[in-house]
Amino acid sequence: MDNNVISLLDPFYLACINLRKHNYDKCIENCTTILLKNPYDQATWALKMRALTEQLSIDDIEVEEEGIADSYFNSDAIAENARVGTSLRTAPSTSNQRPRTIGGRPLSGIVRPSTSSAGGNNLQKALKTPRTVGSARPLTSQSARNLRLGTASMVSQMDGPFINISRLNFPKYASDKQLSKLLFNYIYYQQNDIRNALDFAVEATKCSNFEDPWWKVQLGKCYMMLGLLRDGEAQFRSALQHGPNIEVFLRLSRLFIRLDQPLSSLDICRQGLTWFPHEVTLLIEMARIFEGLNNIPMSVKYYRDILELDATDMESMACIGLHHFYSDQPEVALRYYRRLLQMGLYNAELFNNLGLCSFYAQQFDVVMACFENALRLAIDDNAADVWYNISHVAIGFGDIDIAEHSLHLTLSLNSSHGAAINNLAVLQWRKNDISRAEALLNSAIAVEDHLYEPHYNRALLAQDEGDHQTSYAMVKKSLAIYPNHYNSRDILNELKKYFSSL
Amino acid sequence: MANGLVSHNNTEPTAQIFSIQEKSDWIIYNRYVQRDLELCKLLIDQELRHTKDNNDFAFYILGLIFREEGKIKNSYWCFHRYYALNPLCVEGIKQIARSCLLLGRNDEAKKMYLEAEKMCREPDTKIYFNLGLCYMNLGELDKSKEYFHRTIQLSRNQNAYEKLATIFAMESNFKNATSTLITASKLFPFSTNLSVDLGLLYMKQREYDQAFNVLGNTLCQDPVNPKALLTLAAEIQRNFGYDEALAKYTKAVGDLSECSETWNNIGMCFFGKHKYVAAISCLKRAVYLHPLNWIALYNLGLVHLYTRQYVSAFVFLSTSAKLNPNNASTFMLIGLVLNNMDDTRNAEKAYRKSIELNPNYPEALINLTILELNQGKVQEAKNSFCSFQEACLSGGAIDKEIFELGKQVSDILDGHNKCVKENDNRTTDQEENIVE
Repeated sequence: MDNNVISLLDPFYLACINLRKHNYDKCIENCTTILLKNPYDQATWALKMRALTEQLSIDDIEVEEEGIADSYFNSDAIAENARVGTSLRTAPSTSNQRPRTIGGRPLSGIVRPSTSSAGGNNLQKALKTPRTVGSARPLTSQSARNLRLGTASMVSQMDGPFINISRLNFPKYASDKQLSKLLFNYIYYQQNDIRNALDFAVEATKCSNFEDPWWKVQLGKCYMMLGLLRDGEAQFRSALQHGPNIEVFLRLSRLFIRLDQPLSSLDICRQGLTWFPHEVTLLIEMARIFEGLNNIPMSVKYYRDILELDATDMESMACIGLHHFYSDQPEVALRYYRRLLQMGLYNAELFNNLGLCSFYAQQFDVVMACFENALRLAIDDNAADVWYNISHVAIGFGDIDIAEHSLHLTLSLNSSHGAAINNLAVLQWRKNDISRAEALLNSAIAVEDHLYEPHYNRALLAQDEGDHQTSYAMVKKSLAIYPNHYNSRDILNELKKYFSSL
Repeated sequence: MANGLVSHNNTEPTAQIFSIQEKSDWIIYNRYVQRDLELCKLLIDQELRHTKDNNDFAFYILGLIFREEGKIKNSYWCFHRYYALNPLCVEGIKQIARSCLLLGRNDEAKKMYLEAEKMCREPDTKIYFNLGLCYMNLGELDKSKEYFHRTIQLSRNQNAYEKLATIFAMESNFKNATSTLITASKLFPFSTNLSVDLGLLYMKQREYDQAFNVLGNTLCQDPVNPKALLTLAAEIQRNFGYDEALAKYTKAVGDLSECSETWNNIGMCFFGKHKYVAAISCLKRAVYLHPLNWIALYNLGLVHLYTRQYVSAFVFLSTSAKLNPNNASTFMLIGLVLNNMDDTRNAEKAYRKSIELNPNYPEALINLTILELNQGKVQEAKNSFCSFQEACLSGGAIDKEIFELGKQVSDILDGHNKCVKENDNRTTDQEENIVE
């Protein structure tokens, strides 16, 4: 468009257009010039507020990761030792076919904020978990994202804050139906001042005679942020009485997950589904909860339902693909991953998965091409994983030297890759280089203690050398991680016999 | 109830010590035998503070408790204190030596035990048994055998029998090993460990019927003993009772779902039943669980050969050959695969490699003969056929198919006729259960 034409436009209209085009900076600039001329132009003021808010607003339904301190001091969870299957923390870890993440959960098909967090509410465990690239977990609940919002608002306004909230006359603005919602969003998202937002929302609810569900939801959001979960629940529930709303169902479900009551959460989702059958977001929520409960078959069932309704949902495809891969059907998994590729996903992880699937499905000709692509697209962190998988392929072809080289490359990229160190130890052991194997196993244990394999291997090695004490300690740890490991139990029984005889 | 006045003649070591002690020792002893270990530890702590670390009995029991908890180093220290307080008692040295043994310091343990043996007035079976263990760990098998023999002569010690049999088996003196185990199992008819070992030994000696009987008896006593189940299943499988074997495996798999060898055998069961897809998926799982398992890879190659997927077969077989380059039949199969892919030159190389590894391998020899015949090298074929005949004569049982094939080839050689049927060899490999 010709610049002259734009300059001829009404400046307010220009600002509106810029907002619609998501040119927030320009929109704010335009508004500022108008406001300089006429500081009492309410429309412009509202527009600028909206632009500032939208610049920073995020989809906050997707949960933030719960901080370590938060989850430790959190007394919301009702039962300390919940029954198996009723809590996300005590989810049974029976399926050992899937490898685990650093927090000790079975791997999920997709990386979400909550998949990387440790399962337990145990501060000790959380702190003990080594701080690697892959496991950074925020220490408090005021997580990085929220903090960023606060600082950003300072930067964007050099000559003081746009609105001085402490001087704001809350009752006056709360009664203004046009402005109040915008102002609330500004306080909540842009200023991230939850307490004032709550005060404002209370005023506004009063003004609307407690009949506007929107305000109730906002109140609930504020309570959630302040950690007053039960108050939040009451607000959400009363908002639901005005009529069903998908957002409210989702927020309630998230709230119950914070309370560690996944079954109530599932109930809420089911209730939501009776109003909105075939609603994909609710179904995804359920599938995730089932996955968290380690009920993989149900989770996959829901993901399948989702795919029937929305054939382009990447999360479902990735999760179903993963499920097939770990239940010995790499051919089927390959189909799902290829579909992801067709949909335009183009990253190292996908090519890595494609490579592994085609390796196990005996499509040997494409394996190397896939891994080459993966390496080309990978950044340091996942390049380590790609090399680790290449080492598996090399072992699969019986080429131990290449396997060893790739494991070394893995370690050069990520020196705390426990599984790689463990495998390297096994290869050394195979070459009868016992002392190196031992050293490597020790470092594998030091680096990542959520894997049972290095513990078991170390126990076996100690047993071979006749060092029963080390063996005993290691077997105990191995069984603590994976209680049903037959071979570990075997060693333990043998050792107990040794120790009890005179 | 024990009141500290047990007679001195009691040979039970703890009781012996306990008898000379006074006051609170009997409480500690009581708690210890009632397995109330936490309280026992508290009592000992109290007692040691009272007596200013001068109670040897308390140290002794503390040592035993630590050992049970797996804290060998602590228990070693306790026994040392016990020994310092009571240097004339053999029990102290014995326990110190035992701790050394558990810590893997075999040499030190041996010296201590020898000292203990000198101190003892009458022969002590425990010392002999442990000395046997030390020598065994140090690799001096003859001395070890001697001490185990002495143990057995003096007492009925099941472990000694087991160890003795293990040593015999290590020296591949299977006859003695079997006889030892037979005597042992007569003495301890209810020990499943002994009978399983015996069964495995029979399997190794290829006395399958005996093994079958022994293991059957074991299963009567302990119907879910995984070792016995697996071995028995392998035996049934060898006799083509695939369905029964599968039933046994499924019973065992609950425990050992991560055992590569089990999946290998299950795969071969399906193979025997001509269910190739199931066989391949089971074998693949075996390989997935243990990528360095060359037997599973070999079998995978075999099944692929049967389903005429020669390239895949070649990939798996060559991997197997890389992991274990000393198996003649792997190279023979590689030869067959290459032959099927019309790479006769390399096929011949593979056959020759196989024959180099095992000069009396009839399958490789006959395949080589056929190959040479097809290439028209009659003279060389005749030579190979001669060695084939020798191998047949020297070797034991020969597969009927091979025999038939041999006849055909000899006919052809006589008539210089060149239409030859290809031969596929079938080798069902089984493995006795190996728990990593």
